[in-house]
Amino acid sequence: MQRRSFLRLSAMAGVFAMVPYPLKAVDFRDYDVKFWDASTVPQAIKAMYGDKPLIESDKVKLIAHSYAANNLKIPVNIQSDIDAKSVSLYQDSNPQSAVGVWTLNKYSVIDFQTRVKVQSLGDAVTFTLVVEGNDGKLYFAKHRMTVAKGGCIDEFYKSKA
Amino acid sequence: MMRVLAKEIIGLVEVKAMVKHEMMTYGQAKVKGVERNFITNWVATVGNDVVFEFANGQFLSKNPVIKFKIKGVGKGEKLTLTWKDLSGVTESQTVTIL
Repeated sequence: MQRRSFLRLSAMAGVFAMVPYPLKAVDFRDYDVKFWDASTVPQAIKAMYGDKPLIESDKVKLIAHSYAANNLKIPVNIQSDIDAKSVSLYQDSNPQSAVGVWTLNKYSVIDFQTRVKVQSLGDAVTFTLVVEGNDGKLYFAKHRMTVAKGGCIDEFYKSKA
Repeated sequence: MMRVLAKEIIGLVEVKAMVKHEMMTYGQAKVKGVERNFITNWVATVGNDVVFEFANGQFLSKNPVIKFKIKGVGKGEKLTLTWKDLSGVTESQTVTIL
C-alpha cells in the first residue's frame, strides 16, 4: 500500500494530481507513472507491488501459443483460481515492460483474453503474469514464445536509424 | 466505434468487446510523426457497481479486442462498457446481457 499512502501525503501537501483520486474505478493511467515507465520486468513488478517475493504457482495459467506469426496480434489468455486482488501482465521485449493491470472485486472471475503487440527483433519474448492474492502473496507464471521476424514495428525501428 | 456482446453461459457472463482505435505507441508515433494515443482504461458497470476494470499501457494491438467473464450478474441486466484513451476521449456502450 505504498502508493496509496504516498498519494495521501501529496494531497495533504496541497499538490493536486490532474484528476482527483477516484473513489470507485481505479484509473491507473492517472498516476503510478513509474510502473508504466519501468523498462524491465522486475522493476515494473517492484513499482507495482513493492519488494515481495514471487512464488511460482501452477494455479496461475498464462495460455498463449509457442510461436507468434504476427507480432502485432498475439492473443493471450489469463486464468486463475486464486482469490486475488489484482492481476498484472508484463513482457520483456518492448522498451517498457508493463502491459496491463486488472483490478478485481467480488464480481470478478480471473478469465481474461486480449491481444498484445511486441517488437519483433528475432528474439523470444517472455510474458510474466503476476497475481496478487488476498493473502498478500504474489504468485506468478511465465510463458516464453518465439516471434517471427518482420512485421510493421520492425520497419519503424529500422527506418529510425 | 465499438461493439460489445454479453452472454450468459453456465452461470457466468462472458463479455467480448472490440473497439476501433489506432493504438499508437510512443515508438510508432515518433516515426510516423503523429501524436501518440492509445486506450488506457476500460471499465464495465452493471447498475451502480463496477464489475470490471482494466488499465493498460501502450502494447495492446490495434483495434483492441478484450474478453472477460464476470459472476453475480444475470440475464436481462444492462452492462455498460466504457473506454478512455490518453487524449481524454471516452466512449461507452450499453448492452443487455443475453
